[in-house]
Amino acid sequence: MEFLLDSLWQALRLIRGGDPDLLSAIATTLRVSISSTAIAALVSVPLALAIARGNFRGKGTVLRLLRTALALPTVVIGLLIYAFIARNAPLGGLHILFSRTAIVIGQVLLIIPLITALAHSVLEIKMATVYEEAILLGASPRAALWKVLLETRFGTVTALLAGFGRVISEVGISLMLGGNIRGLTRTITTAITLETSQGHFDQALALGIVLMGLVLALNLFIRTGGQHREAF
Amino acid sequence: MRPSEQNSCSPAVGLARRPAAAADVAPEPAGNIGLFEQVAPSPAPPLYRIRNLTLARGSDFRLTIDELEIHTGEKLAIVGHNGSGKTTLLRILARLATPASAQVFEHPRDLRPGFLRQQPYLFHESVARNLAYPLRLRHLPRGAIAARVTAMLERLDLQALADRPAQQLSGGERKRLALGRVLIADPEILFLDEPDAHLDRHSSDVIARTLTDLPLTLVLTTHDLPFAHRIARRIVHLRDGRIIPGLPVNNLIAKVAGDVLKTQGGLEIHFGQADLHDQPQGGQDPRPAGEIDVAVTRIAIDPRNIVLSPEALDSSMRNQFRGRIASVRDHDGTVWLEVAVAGELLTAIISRASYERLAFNVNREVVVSFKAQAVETW
Repeated sequence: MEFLLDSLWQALRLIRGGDPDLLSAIATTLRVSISSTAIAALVSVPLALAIARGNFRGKGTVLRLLRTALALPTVVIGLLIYAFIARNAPLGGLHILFSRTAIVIGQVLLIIPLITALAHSVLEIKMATVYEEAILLGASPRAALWKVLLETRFGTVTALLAGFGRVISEVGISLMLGGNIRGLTRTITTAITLETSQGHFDQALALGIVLMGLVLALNLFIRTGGQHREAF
Repeated sequence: MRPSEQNSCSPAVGLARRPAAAADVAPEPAGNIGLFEQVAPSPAPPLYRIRNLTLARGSDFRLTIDELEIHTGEKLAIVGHNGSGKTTLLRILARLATPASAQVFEHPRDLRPGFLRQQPYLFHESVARNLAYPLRLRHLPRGAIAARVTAMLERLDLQALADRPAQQLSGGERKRLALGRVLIADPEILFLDEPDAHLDRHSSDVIARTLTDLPLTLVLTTHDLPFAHRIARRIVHLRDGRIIPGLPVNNLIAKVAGDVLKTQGGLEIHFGQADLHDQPQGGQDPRPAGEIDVAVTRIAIDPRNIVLSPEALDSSMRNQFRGRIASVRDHDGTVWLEVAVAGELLTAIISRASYERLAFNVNREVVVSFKAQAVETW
């Protein structure tokens, strides 16, 4: 218990003191996690809409593959991408290994199945009723799909939050593709790994508390934003 | 029936001018409906013309429509039990479902439809925003949207609920909102799937009044025959996917004059006054009983509740009128007679045995009788 309280005190001290390493790790973490989630959302949400709306052959197989991909270990994704972007690999000329770009690519691939599967399960439930209702009221197919998305906005945002939670807390991709370079690719999770390996448990736990605080703040922010209303 | 509307229900002359004998009665083809319309169709071609249309649903249900016509401006009710095919037929008429086969399926292509589903989906936003949705799709100016939304809220008695989330409405309020959302888009033909299902009295009255006042072609499905009477001028019965003989409806408009209703044609009808002065259930009508507008009311009399006799009857029936038979028509084992009474034309349905025994024929003077309780008012 004393250890936990010490860690909490240490975390507050680090934040109040404006520790440059901590601030850098927070900034890098937010930067790559938000980028990854945004890019993955651009792919996953339309994909989930298309799967929910579509009645194509092999739909069941696609869904099974998506659910299987949910279990992909981060180190496997890291390894696969590493094989493509290493110096002598096919995309080695891009020189993106051990960069934030590499982390983002890996994290996007990690959460596309997750966001797609979760968003699809929400969209599928309401697709038939909301889509037909909108069409009956004069909406174009595109406007009707937009209405479906609006009607499932809380579920869809939850899927995005789940994706964000997955990338902000992952360590395998960040470590393998980012290299844990101080001030450049060191994220909170890779910093925790480093501090733990050096025996600085209180420092590592303090970083963990900061990480949880970030997720909580984001949740509160999104909840407040969702309460905005218009007259017509 | 109002004189101006008699064209669409003109006397059936083919059979009626012959002597009244059972052998002379031409049998109606099975599945024929819209008796008087078929005898003397209106000059304009029908909006819908269907012959031998089929659609299977699963392995144990098949909708088979031998013949059906719907004319411009007509209000048609499709009545039947659960699973009889009402919604399937309605969806085919609204072009939301495609028949498997049809010898003839003529339908309007250029009319803007409105469709109210049995369980409409209300969007997760306010009542006003739900109403505004079809107008927002058309990118109307905000001012125009606000004005039309306000008018529709008043029309459906939802003004007090404008800012309430639609998900918080009661069943009747939800149905009224859904109807308003369909009507605000100015449909040119309206399809309603059980608009009266699970409604409180007030909502049922508001919806019935709104639908009755609409100058539109309208097709609705319902379980409830009295509700169908209130809205429709023709009723089609569906059973196991097939049309069975339907009933015309004696729909009249009248003014309250003391303890009787005086129709536009001048008929003075006794009625069950308790019905007219019933308080809406659920306390949703804020007006006290004395302020409820009963100056003008609508009446429906089920043709099966009308008794015809050669002479006045010594009975407890308070409505007895002398009239002349205007038309006679055999219909699937029963005989339908139109009787001109004062300025109205009333339809009565009697058994073929009674028809033969009493030897009714066109122009014969008869007495039309019915109980005050047989008069549905609203």
